[in-house]
Amino acid sequence: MSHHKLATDRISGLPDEILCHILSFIPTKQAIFTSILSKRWIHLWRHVPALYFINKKLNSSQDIHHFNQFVKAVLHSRDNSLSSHSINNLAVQSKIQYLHLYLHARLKCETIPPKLPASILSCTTLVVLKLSWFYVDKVSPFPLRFPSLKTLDLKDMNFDKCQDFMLLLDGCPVLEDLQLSYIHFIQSFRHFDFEQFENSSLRKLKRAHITDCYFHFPVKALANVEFLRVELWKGYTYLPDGFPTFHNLTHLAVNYDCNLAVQVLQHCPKLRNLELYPKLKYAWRDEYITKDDEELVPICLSSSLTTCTIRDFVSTTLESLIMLATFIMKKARVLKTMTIWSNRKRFSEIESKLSSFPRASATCQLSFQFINLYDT
Amino acid sequence: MAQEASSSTSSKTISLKTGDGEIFEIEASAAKQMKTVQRLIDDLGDDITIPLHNVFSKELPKIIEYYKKDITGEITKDFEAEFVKDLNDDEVKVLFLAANYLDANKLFEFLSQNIADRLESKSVEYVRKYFGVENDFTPEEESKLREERAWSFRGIKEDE
Repeated sequence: MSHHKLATDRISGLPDEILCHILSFIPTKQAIFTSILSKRWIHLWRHVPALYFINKKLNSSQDIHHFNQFVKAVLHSRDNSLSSHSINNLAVQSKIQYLHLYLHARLKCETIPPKLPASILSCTTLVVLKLSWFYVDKVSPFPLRFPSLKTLDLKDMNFDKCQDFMLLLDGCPVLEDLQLSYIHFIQSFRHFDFEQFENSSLRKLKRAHITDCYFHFPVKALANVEFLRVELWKGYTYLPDGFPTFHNLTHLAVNYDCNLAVQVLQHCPKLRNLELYPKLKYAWRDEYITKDDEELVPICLSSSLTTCTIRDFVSTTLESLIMLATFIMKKARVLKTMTIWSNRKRFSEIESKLSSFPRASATCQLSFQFINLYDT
Repeated sequence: MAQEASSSTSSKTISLKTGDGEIFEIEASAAKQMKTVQRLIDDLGDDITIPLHNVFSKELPKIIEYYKKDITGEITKDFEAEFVKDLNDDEVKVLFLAANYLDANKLFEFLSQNIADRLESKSVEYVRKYFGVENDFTPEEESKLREERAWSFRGIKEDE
């Protein structure tokens, strides 16, 4: 009996829950196809507690309307006993745990993002919520909005006021994974509008990924994370108490063209992996680490840092890149690998300057990854 | 001087015996990640060779490789991509079943995603064969069902 035939027989013997589990990773539109595999499969897709809609080409409000109709029809067909009135009740009643709604207008500046259906915000069974390109208006304060939500991924979202955004975060007490990019607020805000949320309930947060967000995210709320990728911008210089101590942080990815990076490093006593990259969107004036005063050297550099990756970019001067790399190599006593991402043209000069530079760590290996510097 | 943060005493290894009689060693901390193995250890003790009737010598080394990386905390997207790169659909299926049997959650989740990715663009016939599904529809039943499902695509532009 061939190994593969055995496997095929065993897979068809698997219980429905496991097959549903595989289906939960497929976009809902494709999952519906499986209903024609056999009689057993007609209804399997309906029991998948995940709805996953991706539509990349919404060019007009008519497209958006069709998409909404599709989502509504799917929700309705999952449970015929529901009387359909609007998406509102259906999402809540279907006990959905995983919801991905990714919309993506081709010409974003010309189209207004659709309003997020209010029902999504009252879907208390959600464990994973990923949204892209929606407009969210009034969010009421509701601390148990998402009592089970562990992953939140928001991209290209417009909130009416910054309070709406923070109230949303406040409603996620067990959140572990947070990804934010391109979050905008329609109404203007000031930096102290965020201060009241500093003690936000993100205590269980393990991973945070915040890029292209030009507002004063209450960084105190991130104090417990283990992994942090954050794009620093000048607004963080207005933090009244500075950065919190990130006592669990072992992996940090941060842009080195903002001198706040050193400040952040000083608050990461247990950092093991450091990724440094330049901010790609705007040409900041280079502000690199120039002082190597013993007092200013972050503790983690000398005591816990084992890997460091530095990414070169077309607007970075070779001199500042080398200065950054040598600063770290001089101070990092337990460093195992220093990796530089650059193009082949700059590689030889970087290598010649760095390979003979004295390293604080006897086990430090220098390695290179080649990239095209014009890539974003 | 680096401090050992873990609370385990020595790095104990466990012996596993596959359905086709081969023996492999894994660290006790990796065995913890496979709930079935851990249950067997709890019942039989960690000094004897643990028998795994439904896992074979072809796939166990790959599973051990995955969890070896896991206990050092280094599983990245790149590692996972590399891990499945040279496996064909049937090999992934065999690994998936083993991960299910071993109750190895992380690997199970990862392989579920991988199988879903592989099947996403395949035909109904291929998926039937893959899951060993017998088509028990009559031709009339099947065409009626296909027609009924057509509503889901009315007015939507294909996004491929």
